[in-house]
Amino acid sequence: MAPVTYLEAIRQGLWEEMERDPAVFVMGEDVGVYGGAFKVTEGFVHRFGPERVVDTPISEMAIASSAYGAALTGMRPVAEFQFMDFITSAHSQIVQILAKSNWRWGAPAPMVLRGPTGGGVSGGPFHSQNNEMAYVHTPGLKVICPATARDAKGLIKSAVRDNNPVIFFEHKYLYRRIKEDLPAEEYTIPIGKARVHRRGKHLSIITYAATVYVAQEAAELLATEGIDVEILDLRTLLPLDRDAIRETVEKTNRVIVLHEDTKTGGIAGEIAAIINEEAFDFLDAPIVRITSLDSAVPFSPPLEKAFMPQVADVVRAARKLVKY
Amino acid sequence: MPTDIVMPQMGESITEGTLTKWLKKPGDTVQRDEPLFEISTDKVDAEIPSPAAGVLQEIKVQEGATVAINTVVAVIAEAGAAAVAPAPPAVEEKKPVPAAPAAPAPSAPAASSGGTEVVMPQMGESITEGTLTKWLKKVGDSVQRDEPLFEISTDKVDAEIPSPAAGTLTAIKVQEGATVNINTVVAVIGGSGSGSAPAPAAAAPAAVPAPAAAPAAASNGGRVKSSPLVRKIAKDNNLDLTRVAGTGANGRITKDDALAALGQGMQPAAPAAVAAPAAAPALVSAPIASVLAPAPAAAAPAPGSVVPLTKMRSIIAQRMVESKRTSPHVHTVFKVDMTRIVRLREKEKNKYEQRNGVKLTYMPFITRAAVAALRKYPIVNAVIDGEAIRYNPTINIGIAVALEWGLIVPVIKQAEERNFLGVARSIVDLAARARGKKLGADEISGGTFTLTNSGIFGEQFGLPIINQPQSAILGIGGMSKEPVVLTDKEGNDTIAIRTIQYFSLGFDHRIVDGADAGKFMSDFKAYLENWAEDIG
Repeated sequence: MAPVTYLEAIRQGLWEEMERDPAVFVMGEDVGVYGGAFKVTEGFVHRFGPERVVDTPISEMAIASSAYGAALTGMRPVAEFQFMDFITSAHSQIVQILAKSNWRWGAPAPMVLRGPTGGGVSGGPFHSQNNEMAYVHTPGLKVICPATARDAKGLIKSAVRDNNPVIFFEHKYLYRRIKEDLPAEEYTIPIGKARVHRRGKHLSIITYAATVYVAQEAAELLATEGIDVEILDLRTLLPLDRDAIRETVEKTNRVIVLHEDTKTGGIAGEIAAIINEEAFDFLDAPIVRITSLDSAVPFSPPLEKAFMPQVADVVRAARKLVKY
Repeated sequence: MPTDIVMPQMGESITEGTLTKWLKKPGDTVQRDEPLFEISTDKVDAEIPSPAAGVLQEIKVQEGATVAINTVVAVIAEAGAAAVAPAPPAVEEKKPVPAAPAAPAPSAPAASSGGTEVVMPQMGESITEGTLTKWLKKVGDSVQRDEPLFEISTDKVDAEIPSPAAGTLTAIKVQEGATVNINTVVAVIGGSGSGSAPAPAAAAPAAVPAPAAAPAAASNGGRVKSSPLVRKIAKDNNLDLTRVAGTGANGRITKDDALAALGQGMQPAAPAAVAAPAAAPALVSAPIASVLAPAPAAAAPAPGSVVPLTKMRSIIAQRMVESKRTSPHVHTVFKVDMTRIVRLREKEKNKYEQRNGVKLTYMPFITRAAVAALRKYPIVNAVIDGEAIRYNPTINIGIAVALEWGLIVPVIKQAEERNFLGVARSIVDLAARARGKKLGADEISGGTFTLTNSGIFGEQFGLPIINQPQSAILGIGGMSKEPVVLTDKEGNDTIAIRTIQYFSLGFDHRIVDGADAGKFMSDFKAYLENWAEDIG
């Protein structure tokens, strides 16, 4: 079977869920005939019809609100945001209403809010952000950030089946750059479980989404120097897989937390705190954070490169850490 | 006053710099503001001027190395002072090893003079440790005999422990909440009790107070740099971190250091089975600091490159040739059936490590057997002294330890006076400190017999060179399973699979004859094959 891109994997996952359950439908700006800005829903309207592939006005608030209404009536909406940067226009609705629906009214809101996130494509400050932490800080939601095609497909299917509002961040840099063979048979990936992307013994890089590949490239370079790096791909940020974090710390005793999100308030700080609380006695060196700078995402390619964590940053930090 | 030269901070976000070139050599005179070295950082490349005038006394960071800002890269001495002492490189605060005659480490076991030591009691047969939950007295309180002193909690019971003596509580050595092995000293009553570092747990009662007997390593002085993990390892194993050599940044003790100190057993010597420079005090004692100091192992040198001999390498070279020229070497090789010891070790090793905090390796077995045979055949422990044979009064066993930068032979002094556990502890301690470059000059001299382990790389046996001025060296060969013919009392033969190890004795035929060597080895073999000693 031909390798499948990250984007195609998400498309397949949504398609299969719509085939499986008539309550599942997609909505968003230009998801119908146009197939979505990145073509995730290409061809859906021809197969499932305009009632299940709903084009919406350019209003994120309207998208989130009407999806919520549909969820209350027993549907399982999957709403696309053209760029996750603009999901903030629906912030009040998501944080106040969706996330608290079940707690406040006993009314579960099974829905997926999905869209492209992240930089590295010279998209500038409005089309490159990693704003997942706003939702990680909101109890009642689930937040998923897959790095591989296999995980993207398995997790979008799990998200559709979950009875909570799930925010699904698709890294746009990975959409067409990542390709892999997927299992022929149907599968899902559990929400809330991290994955060891690479086994190693000298230090752990805890990361997710596009920076998994930054870590991987660094690990390959470091391997030539005899530094054996373990990479933990979190996959889900809320709920976090604390067991996996603890296990890797107990194994290697040295940790880099790497992400493309900016540093202050990024999940690296949260992970460092978890390690501090639960695995302090296993640390042989301080925890290192490698993240984007605390800045808006620059448009200029060289500036964007300086802004985002690079392989060399990881290699340098790792060399220092193993010598600590 | 010498001036420390540090890696400067070349910009706000810069945390490290690479020293690309030295513009002066040690011994050179330097003017203030004269360029001293060149650096390269993320931001800039720059020449760094000297902050003081004087003589460049020591270079601590070599070209090409990247170090954190404020790391001391060199020392400049005032003009007059340095010229007098062109000191051996790289002996600064970290290892006051041999030269400082004024500061011999205090012998450890001399616990608070005159006081009564209070130990963690054994509250049941299978109990090996207890948690001190509460102190009922403070330092300075007077205590009656049998008055409750502290509370403990073990797997079996919680209990109040009465004071074993009357007097003033002069030192508390174990804090509330700490879990320690039984017989660990937790407090001192009476005496001057200057709360010295807690003595390592004396394991078996009546045993030698363990590693203490070996001269204490040069203390790191002040705070010991480690990590949460290292402190946990130390606590769980009752390891005294002040005795562990740190190889991390700024001498920090890393996990690997702590584990090494706990005794991964002796790292066997290099395959060539050569013994190291050690014995002759004259040759080694003075330059030992520089012997131990050379730079860490670099990457494999490029083909065709010429690399100068390190100090250690050149001493090894000189002494190997000297030994071959001095002693007519004869070698005899014995096969020893180690099955009994292998089984004993497999059965006991976990408990042993828990009990004693030392890994149970084969080395103490072999060392004890060698000591027993040396006692019986003192000629093997003797030396030629001019026209006489001098029988050494003690048995000092050198054990060759392979280092990344060479080979060194720390010596267990008076090995005949140590029991099995004492020997095991000494081996672990000396090996760890050999690797941490913390051996004192007297700890690598005075050997009377040497063990060299070359078997781990799969060889059967080597023919080692005698470590002068000793008369014999025992090569420890490879261990493997072999089919052997066993004969029972009735003379019936059976073929069995046994664990066999080769041992080769290299001896100086000027003093030891083949018959002596044969008898020596035969006793050595019998001791191991019929192992009957308590291992502690």
